[in-house]
Amino acid sequence: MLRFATRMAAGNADLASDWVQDALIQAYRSYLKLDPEPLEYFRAWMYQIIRHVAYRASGKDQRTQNVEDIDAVADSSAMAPSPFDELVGNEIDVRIRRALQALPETQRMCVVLVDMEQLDYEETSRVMGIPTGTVRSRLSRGRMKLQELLGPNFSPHQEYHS
Amino acid sequence: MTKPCLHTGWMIHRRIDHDLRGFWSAYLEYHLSGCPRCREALAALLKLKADLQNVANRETPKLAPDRWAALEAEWDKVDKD
Repeated sequence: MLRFATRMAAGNADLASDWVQDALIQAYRSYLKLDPEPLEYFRAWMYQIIRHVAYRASGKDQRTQNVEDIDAVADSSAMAPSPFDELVGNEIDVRIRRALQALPETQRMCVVLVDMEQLDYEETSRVMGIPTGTVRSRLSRGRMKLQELLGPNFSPHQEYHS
Repeated sequence: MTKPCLHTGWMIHRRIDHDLRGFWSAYLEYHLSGCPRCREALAALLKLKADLQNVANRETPKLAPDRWAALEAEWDKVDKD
């Protein structure tokens, strides 16, 4: 949860910790008066609360970011590596994080939830409040855009064997 | 970036998410056996997904102990309300 919140907070660990703290309090309050659904989809429900807390705290303007070019992202101070990036110091990781930040928010959320947090389509649909078909299309567009941003040198030179 | 054939794009994405079954799964395997372009696109997407998972696995932030203490105090308060 904290990893997801940190990503939503663009690497700001303190802010992410605040959001997780608020979300855990809110989740416990809701749990005491809940219907059975959140238990069935507990993981999705928790991510959904985090997302709501983060959006409420950060406001709409900070939600969407459309950057077309990875170099523009690299040059932008807002996209500078976070202290976490520097700590890990892995160039590939930094490139991937920057490319992720350059995706439109709706696509990035789907990629993060499915490919990084390993939620399935149904769970992602619940977190985002969108149909599973929309999750699939945003996910595939997000992945293709990520590949484009990461460039040809990032692709594997290997064949698929069935 | 290698783009898959127009009609197989959605199948390839669902395959890497283990969500492609039945006829479409069999059809995609058949198509892949004869289409180097789609094989390359699939390999690239599998690599991207693995890279994303590796990045996530290397990030293991934890809530600081003082935050857990504050949380427990808040939960106690909720219990008393």
